[in-house]
Amino acid sequence: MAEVLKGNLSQLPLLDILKVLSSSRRSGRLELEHDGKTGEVYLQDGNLVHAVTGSQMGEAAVYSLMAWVEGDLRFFPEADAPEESISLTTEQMLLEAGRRAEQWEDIKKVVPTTDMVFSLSPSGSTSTVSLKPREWQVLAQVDGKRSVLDIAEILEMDEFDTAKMVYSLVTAGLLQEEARTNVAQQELMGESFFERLQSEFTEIMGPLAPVIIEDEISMLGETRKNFPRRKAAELVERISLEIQNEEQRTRFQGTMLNELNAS
Amino acid sequence: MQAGLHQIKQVKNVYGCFLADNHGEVIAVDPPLELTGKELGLISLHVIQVLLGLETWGDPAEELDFIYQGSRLVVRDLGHSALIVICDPGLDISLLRMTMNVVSSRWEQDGKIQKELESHAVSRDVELPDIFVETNLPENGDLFIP
Repeated sequence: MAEVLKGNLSQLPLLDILKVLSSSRRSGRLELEHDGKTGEVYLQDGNLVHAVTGSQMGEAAVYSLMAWVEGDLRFFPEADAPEESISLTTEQMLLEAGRRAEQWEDIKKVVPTTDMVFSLSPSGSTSTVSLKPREWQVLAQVDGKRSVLDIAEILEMDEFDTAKMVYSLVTAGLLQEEARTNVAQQELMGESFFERLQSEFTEIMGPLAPVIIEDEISMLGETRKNFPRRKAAELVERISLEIQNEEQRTRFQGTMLNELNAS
Repeated sequence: MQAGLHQIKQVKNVYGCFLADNHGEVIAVDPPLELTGKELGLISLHVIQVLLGLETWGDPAEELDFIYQGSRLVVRDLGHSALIVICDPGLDISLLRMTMNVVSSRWEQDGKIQKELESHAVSRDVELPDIFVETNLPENGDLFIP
């Protein structure tokens, strides 16, 4: 069955999509995909009835998916849910999601992304700190190597709750930022790659080429200056789909594959 | 043909790839794949039947992507044959897809390879058990309502 809606979470946050689908009383399956991870949310007459991602199901899966800031989404109408795992009403779910989104804004000041790594603060807290059992479990997993996401997976908690606890532990003076794996350690694409990409694409598409390239970079939620290598092939593929002539498209892909391997 | 399979195998997180005819018989494989010819044949037979099913349904697919917990199967329909890649679920699918495009396009332009693939051309249709052949489906679509 063909999808009737597709987009990227960096442009269309899940919460907004669900509000639209819910208010228009749609039924079907919303599929999300990012970095090899997948998620599904099922709606029946606008009500959220089932969701799954990784080992999470139901409400926890919806909240976890809402924390995704990037990824592709597609909506397949009329797909039936294989089961019902959500007991809250859609209004309650969306309200809670909205509340979490607001809290995320505060958490992001300390934990901007869940791929951040923290370590124990050598100076510690200046006052007495009491921890809840779950907070202690999170603290015990912090080793200067595991990211917030890794800790969430180990403890089988959702990203939001884990990030919230890390936020509390940082503000209590127990943790400090070690490194941001995503920004500081990831490999970025150099300017020579973009120059080649633009030159090859312009030869086929003409003066519109740079505009399309910038548009696709933005659709991936990135900038040319800080473009991660892990998304380079996806960028080339997305851009190549603009080339109507199949032979030209394949030749462009071949040239850029060589460039990717060489750079 | 082997060079093309090898190029696909070089994509990071690809375990192996092979080409099979429409009856699941393996035409070429890039070793080492820790699977026997029979196991590869079973995999290809299944995915080819999915391609046939979608074709019959009126929604033919050029590519199939089956994602499992610890592996992933990416299938490209080449008409007389299917190119099947066994890989890690986390592989860069764009990189793989583009490499498959480049390789299959090169095969299309290579007369020798085309001749070899044509020599393996067989129909995808398989003989179905009587129960499927003789079932009369109601036209109003209420098949499951007693």
